[in-house]
Amino acid sequence: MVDTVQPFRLENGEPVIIGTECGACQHTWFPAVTLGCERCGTHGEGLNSRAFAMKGHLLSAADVLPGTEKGFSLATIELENGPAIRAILAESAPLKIGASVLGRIETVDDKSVVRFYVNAD
Amino acid sequence: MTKSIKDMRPVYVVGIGLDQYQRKTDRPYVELGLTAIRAALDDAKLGWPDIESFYLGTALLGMAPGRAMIKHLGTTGIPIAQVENASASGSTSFRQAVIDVACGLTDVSMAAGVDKPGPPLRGAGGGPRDLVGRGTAPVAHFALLANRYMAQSGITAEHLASVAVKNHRNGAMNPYAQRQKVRTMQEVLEPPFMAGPLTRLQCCPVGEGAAAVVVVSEDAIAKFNIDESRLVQVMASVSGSEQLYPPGTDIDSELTRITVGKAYEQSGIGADQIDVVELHDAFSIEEILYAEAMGLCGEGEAAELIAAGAFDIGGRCALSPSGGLLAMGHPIGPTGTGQVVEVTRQLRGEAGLRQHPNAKTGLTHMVGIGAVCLVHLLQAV
Ligand SMILES: [Zn+2]
Repeated sequence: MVDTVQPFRLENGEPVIIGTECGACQHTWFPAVTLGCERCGTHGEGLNSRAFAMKGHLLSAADVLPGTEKGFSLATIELENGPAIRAILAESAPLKIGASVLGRIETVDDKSVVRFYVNAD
Repeated sequence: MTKSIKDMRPVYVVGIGLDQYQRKTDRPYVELGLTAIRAALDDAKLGWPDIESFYLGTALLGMAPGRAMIKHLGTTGIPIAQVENASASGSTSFRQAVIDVACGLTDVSMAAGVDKPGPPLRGAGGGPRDLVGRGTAPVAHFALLANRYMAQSGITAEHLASVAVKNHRNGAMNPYAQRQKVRTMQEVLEPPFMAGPLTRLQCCPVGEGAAAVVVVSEDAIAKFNIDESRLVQVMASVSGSEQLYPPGTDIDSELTRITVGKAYEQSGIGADQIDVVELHDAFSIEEILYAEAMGLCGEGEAAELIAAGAFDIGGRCALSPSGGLLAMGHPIGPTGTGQVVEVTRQLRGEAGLRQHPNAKTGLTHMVGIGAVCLVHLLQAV
């Protein structure tokens, strides 16, 4: 199955993203897809929904189409207890590889979105 | 036991042709393709009836565009197939033609590529929702790699831009290139920034174009009395796809390292023997990453070497002498076949103003979204 619902939520007041963990090899990934594990091929009931805390560190970041209406800041983030993901940074931060980042669920233009903040302890 | 191309019948490139890469025009794709095909046949001094199988690399033209094009050469009933493999479509069509000849299925085969930009054709069914939506366009992906590489290696924006300065300079000497203008460092560094440090002139143009290549066996060389002084032999043909690499690994570089490594191993040719390289420089950072992944220099050394001219035409190894994707252009389907055209021209000593001196051995390399990597090693006979 391919999950088309919102891939994040608050869990006990903490923001989390919803991915998948393989029950056979413990490989994790985001977004959630239960069609089969990329590492070992396990599928169906061998795969479990898993919530990952929005805590991690920056592998890289880049401003896309800076100075335009469509501009945004993109990051690759390695989660503390989960896979590496692509996410939006709230700020156009100068790149600090390894900087710790925290994600928040925010409302932008009446839509619920996830944005990450650098050194936002 | 399995075999590689080197262990099979020798395969030679004997005909090359292009239709200039350029912004989309009103010319139909059939006309672009036929121009390249007829040029390749003329170059080989062969006729269309001599071609025994035909592969067309294309990603943007929809279902089965090949037959509507080649029927204008006079129908001969040969096997044909379209090959779609993203940016590597034209490299993959070349590999299929090489395999036919190497196996003895044919003595003369043709690979071609043709495309025109159009609305993207998307596969059925969407993917799952992520956190970024459109944020992972290729330019954004490579901007992330560029920023990471720059932070880790300490190279400057000028180092990165020097790739584009070199490739635009090479493209200015290539009458088939989409961009034929020498660009200064200042021009390359000028905004707009597409993503991260990548300015417009550090991103390849996607236009239209066509390329075609004829490959033959030794039997065909004898039968058609083909000029042996212009032969270029295919020494390795390797195709690979992405595996799961450790977290934080740059996938495109790792896939390149593995695929090129197999080509070196199969052919017995080492990185230090490579004279000319046409690689997948869709964005400036890619040439730096792949030069290192190919072992053409040490890790972290490529940017400074490129800026110092080591990979210019006439340097230790010519990288992207055609102008590469950055200047010659990236019309998608033709690009990989067009790399074989350029390397063949270089190895024959027929590249004119952009001739790299004493070019004997060349490498072509494309990566495709998906992710695939195609590498060929070619050598003057
Ligand atoms: Zn698994």
